[in-house]
Amino acid sequence: MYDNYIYLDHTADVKFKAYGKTLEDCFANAAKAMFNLIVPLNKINIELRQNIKIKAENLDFLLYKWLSELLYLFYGENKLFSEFEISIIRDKDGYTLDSILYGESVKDTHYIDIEIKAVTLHDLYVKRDNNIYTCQVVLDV
Amino acid sequence: MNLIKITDNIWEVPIGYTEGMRVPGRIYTSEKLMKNLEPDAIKQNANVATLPGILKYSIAMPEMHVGYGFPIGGVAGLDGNDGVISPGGVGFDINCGVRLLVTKIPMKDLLLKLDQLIEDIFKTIPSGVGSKGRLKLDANELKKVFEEGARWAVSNGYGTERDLNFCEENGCMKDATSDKVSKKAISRGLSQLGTLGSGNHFLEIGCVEEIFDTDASKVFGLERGMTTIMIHTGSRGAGHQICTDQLEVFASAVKKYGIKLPDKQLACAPLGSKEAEEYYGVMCAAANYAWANRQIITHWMREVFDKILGDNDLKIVYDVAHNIAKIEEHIVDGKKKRVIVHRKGATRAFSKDNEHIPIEYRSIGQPVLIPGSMGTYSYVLKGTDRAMEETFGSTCHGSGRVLSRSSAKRKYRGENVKKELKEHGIIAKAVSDSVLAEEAPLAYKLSDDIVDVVDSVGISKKVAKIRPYGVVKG
Repeated sequence: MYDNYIYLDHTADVKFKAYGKTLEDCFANAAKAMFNLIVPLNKINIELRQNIKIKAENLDFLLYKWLSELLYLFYGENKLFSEFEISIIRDKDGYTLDSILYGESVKDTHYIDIEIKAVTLHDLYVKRDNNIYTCQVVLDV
Repeated sequence: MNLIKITDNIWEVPIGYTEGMRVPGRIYTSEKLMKNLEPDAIKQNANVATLPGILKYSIAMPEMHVGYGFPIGGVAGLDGNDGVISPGGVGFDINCGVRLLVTKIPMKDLLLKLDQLIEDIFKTIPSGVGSKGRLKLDANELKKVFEEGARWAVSNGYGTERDLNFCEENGCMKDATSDKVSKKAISRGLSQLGTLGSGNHFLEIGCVEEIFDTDASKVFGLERGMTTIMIHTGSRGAGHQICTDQLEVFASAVKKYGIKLPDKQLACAPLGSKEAEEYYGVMCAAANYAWANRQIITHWMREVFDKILGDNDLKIVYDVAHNIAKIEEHIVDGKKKRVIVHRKGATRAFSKDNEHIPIEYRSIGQPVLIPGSMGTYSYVLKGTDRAMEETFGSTCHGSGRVLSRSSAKRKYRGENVKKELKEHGIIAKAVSDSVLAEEAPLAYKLSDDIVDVVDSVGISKKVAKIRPYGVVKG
């Protein structure tokens, strides 16, 4: 058994690891780890859905772009998400992530505790060990 | 591999500390501060030394701690002809910086109304996570902000011509290219102009408590007992998004130009390349947004002072950037050279007679503004010739964390932090108590220790010390 994600100590920033039996689960858990910092996931109702598609040359950048896009949807479109349906396909140009996001618009009742400035590439990785996918992300806060 | 002591408070990170170093690292720190120096921060300093075109040393200031790519407190000068530019050497909060204002009202007269003043500042200047500004702009107007910086604010009634004269770059970098700023950055920038933000950003009312350099303090307009106002904020979501957009472009550039790097976050591109030009243009746009932001907040601060104290004469001492890359001229190996100086958690510290500082300050050197952590002393220093010779005219920027935000929250309770500050005569006001815990004074290195190192080495010299009396946190 493993946790879906864990937070690690980092002096200036926030660092987390997310896990999954599949790459898709691992990416969904990374998104949950990030949104859970903004608002506890159980406080995010499912009132809207949205599709997003991300393309990247490699898995590290796919993760970076995925989380950066979600962070933009929070700041630029005032949306919070707590559930993610993802499919990741590999082709000759790299990877394509197709997803449906479930969540709601930010409301006055949401108490937001932390300002995540950005997803960083520092110490970022996606890897597979013993049939478990793990990724690590440092957020600039 | 161990650090080599060069002289008191100066240490070298030898070539070979990490693979591919082109120059040694140079860390300005004391024996006391060394005890808290993280090995990963030294590694990051060494990593910066692998950047193509790096000149002299990869420099780190005494507040140095782990960042992403560059350590916080990092300075690197890269050859303006065949060097690179790296967004990691600026960071996400482009032109996060500090502005110091001063008023003739003595603190002793202001104390009776300090509570009211802090309350009103808190109400007037939007702060906190994702806080929305009071301005209603459209995308075309925002483009002008990106192009004109603080001048946009002054042209729109937020401040005076004099204000511009007392900002680094006069509050505007001319190479900004607003047409390259992404729609996402515009969208984030529209709602946040004129907001403080969260985390370590703050507004602080203080008092000049000690003068170290009478001549310099006189020229900077600082007298013992005078009230000061410090504004610490940056380019908000606009800058964060601009850096996010660019990191992706730069990852491809690293591949395209065959640059080998020890850390993805150090992604860079050769000067003159399409990628480097585009980054510099949008970084300047973000820097200008930050100067406009501090200018608008200054105006509202004046309105609050006028309302509560009947005096809106708040003069800008100076406004400095802490996270920026700039094309400057420096003497390297006896020759004048074009250098792209990256300051990531560091302050420009140009010495006297420099044409890039206000005429009024040319007999002294530029003011360097070093905010303390919440509840601790802030300092005004002056730039020196030694900084021009050794650090590309740069010095430290602040106190630097020793505890992570989560450790600080585990260790301290916001309400207790507030109470303790109150016992020391400091009023703290924040959107939430957890910010006060995260930003507890002991979560940071002492600003006194940091400033003592740069002063003793001489890369800037102490002018005045400011004691905090009231602080608003986002």
